[in-house]
Amino acid sequence: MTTPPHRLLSRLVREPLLHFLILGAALFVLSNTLQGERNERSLQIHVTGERIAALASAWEIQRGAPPDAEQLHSLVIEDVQEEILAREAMAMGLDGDDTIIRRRLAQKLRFLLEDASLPAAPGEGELEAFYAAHRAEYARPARLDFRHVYFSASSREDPAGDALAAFSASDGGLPEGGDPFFLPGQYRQATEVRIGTDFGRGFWQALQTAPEGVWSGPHTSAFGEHLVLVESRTPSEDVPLGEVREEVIADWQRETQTGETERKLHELVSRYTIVLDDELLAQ
Amino acid sequence: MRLKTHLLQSFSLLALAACSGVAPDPGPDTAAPANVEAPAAAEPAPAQTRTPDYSETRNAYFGDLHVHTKCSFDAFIFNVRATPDDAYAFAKGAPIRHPAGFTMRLSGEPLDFVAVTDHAEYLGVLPSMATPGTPLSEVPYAADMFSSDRNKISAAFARVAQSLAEGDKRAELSDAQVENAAWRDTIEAAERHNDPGTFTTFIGYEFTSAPEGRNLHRNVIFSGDVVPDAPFTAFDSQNPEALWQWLDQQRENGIEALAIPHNSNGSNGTMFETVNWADLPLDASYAELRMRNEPLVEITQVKGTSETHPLLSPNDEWAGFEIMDFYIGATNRITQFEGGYVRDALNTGLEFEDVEGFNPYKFGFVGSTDTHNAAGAYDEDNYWSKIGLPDSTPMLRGAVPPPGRTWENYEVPLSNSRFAQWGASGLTGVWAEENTREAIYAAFRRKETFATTGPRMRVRFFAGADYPDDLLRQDSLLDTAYAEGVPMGGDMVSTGAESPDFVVWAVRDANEGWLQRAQVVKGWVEDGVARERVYDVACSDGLTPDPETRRCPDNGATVNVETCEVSKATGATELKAVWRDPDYEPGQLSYYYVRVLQNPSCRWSTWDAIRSDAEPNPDLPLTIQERAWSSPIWLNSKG
Repeated sequence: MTTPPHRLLSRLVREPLLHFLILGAALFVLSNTLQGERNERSLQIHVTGERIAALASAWEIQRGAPPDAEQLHSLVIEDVQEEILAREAMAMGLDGDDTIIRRRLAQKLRFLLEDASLPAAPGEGELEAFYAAHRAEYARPARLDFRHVYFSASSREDPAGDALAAFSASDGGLPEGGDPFFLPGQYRQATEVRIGTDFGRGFWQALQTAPEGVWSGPHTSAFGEHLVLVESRTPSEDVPLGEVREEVIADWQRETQTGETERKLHELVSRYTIVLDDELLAQ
Repeated sequence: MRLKTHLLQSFSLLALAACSGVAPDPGPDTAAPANVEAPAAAEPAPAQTRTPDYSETRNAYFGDLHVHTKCSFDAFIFNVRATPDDAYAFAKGAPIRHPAGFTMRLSGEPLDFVAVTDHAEYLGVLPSMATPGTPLSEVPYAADMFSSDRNKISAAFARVAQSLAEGDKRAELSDAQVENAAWRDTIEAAERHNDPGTFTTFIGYEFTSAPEGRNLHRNVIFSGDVVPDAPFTAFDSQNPEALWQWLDQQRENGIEALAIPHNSNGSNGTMFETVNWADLPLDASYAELRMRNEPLVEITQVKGTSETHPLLSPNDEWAGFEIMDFYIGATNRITQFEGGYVRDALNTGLEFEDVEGFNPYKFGFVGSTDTHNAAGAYDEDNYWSKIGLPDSTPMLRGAVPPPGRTWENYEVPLSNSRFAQWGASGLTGVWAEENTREAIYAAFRRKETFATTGPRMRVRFFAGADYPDDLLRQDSLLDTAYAEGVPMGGDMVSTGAESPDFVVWAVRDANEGWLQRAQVVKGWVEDGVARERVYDVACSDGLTPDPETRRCPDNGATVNVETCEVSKATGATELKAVWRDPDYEPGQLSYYYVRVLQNPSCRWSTWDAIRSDAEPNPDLPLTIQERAWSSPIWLNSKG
């Protein structure tokens, strides 16, 4: 069996020796090319009083008591060391090939783009157009009035058989011999969501084909079998903009913000020429 | 110059509307104080028209009573920018964005009810600090408060957490106008989304008291649209007794509300003490004050489950479930478990009642998430934890090692190992006639509530002196159970020679998981000391509890932890029993509650590892047993 390419790649990525070799090579190249630049960088670290206070306060929150002089001293030393290591690492370009740092930087910028994309209220025309495009989402959902008799899958060997027998014996009337149901035996104006929550997804669909005004079944739910009398159906109905205005505004803002962020992202992307080696993609 | 003034004006409008998703109507009265006292308060309520859902035997509705948005100081620091409107939209099924860039969406049906409960302390202050031109934005360290740098996030959080631990309001972080506007936004968002019969919202907030870091947080939930001008915060007093007195006062003024303590597991034993704030022994007036205002407790949430701890319940094999043993928002460990867990508190309550005749700990159970992303993570396989950027990836949550590392050479840093203890939990279930504020709030008051760790399992629980023998087969089971007994949350006097009949009825989530067993947890007092015992009362797969061990035999359910696939054809859709207490004593002071266990399934951390193509963290459980708890029924309690 041959190893699929992505597996091979992910194994390579985890190979410590490879990491070592790549790191070594990179360091060699970088330390040569960056030597000049390095000499010009500031070599001063200024530990401000605010920084020290922040370190002390973070310690206190974590440990429940303020650091003593010695602890504070080592906190500052660690902090300075971290700062120096970070600066040196960046100067060597170690951040460049680090997935985590790259992802964090990308995340930070995306976040700034999003924050700057908060839209104001839409104009009336914009709002109407948005509502028209999403009319179905604001519609009052279809509803169903029905009664049901339940045959439990937990307490019966053959709930479907028992349901059928009860159905035949009832001669079109209320079937007898069902099990008590833990929720109502009669539903009024039940939506697909309500039925999905109470009987399991799929039961709504099963009831779509049930005839109106007569008992039918058995129909299978998450709990067993049901004989059902669909009493009436209310089709889905549009809700005028005036009744859902605030909801539409909120949705418009949410969508506009996302759209605006994407637009800014596209703007950035369009400044770049992207050369794609597509052999791997083509496979 | 005119242009500049105009710009400043629009900035301040933005700041005022900072916590709302909906821009304010441009108009002269935008900045007017909230007129929150609806005129309806003074008039008698109009006769309620029933919604189509209405059922005398009550429906189960599921909701989250603990949701934070960007109006909470910490959520904003965690880079969360979702508004209360976003929180309600999410609960109704809409997708919203996580600050790390991915989309969060419920994997199940929409929720039935939600309360947005932002921290009342510094409410809306951070969004205003981040808005150029506002007075708050000129605080010297303002920019550090909304960095996306994780270290700066920690430092900013620490700064505010410190002020909360001290109960000391920082003047530079306070702006009454901003806080009032944010409270008004909270109210208006709840009002906008409340839709009787379909989706219920509650106006609420979190009272964030944590003296010396010990968590005494409460969520305050208002029954209706009549609410005070400003919330009572931990800066008014860190003492919960002061909160309850304030709630009493509100009630006298026609404003009804209750408080729900949460994360007692992070209180280091101070949530359910045997002394009051002043260190004096509890008395009857304390018990009445507390129970009048705190009929419910949050038993499970993302930051762990507070039912019980293995050290408190050594004979309960399921006690070590999603235990979180850190202080909240810190890396120091909890050392005191007594007084920090719910079952232990019920026991303490019985001991008080036995000796002193009053019971300060007689509460029902709810579950919620405490999400700070405006979006609860209820499902193990659809999990994003709860505090924005800091726990946004599997690695940050301690579920997978960094790229190129393995569990042999990587240890999760302490600050992240807290996140590894967190979980995809929970939900509140209520038994209410219909999905309206009135009906659901009445269920809170009756304690006819149950809690789940996320799945929408339903639990019925009744006690009756003498139910008919064929009750479980009767079509009128529920009518009879209500008419001739009490439901969960209720009280019953039982002095007869025979144990009452306990009806235990649990059904699976209609869309996921199968049930393994239903249990009754009993607490009672013997020689002044509370005892507890767990009885399996209904088993799946045709099994029956062993009368000696009181345990169901193993039903053989398995999980493939490589794929998270669960065994087919094991487990029950429904568990149903009439149970009689074999250890019943006439007149015994006791409580009983139901715990329902699902078959095992993958924990979120296992899902994270599989999806990251990594080994799961060997220090974490691979699987969990999702569960539900009914509120207790008390026998012979006068409290």
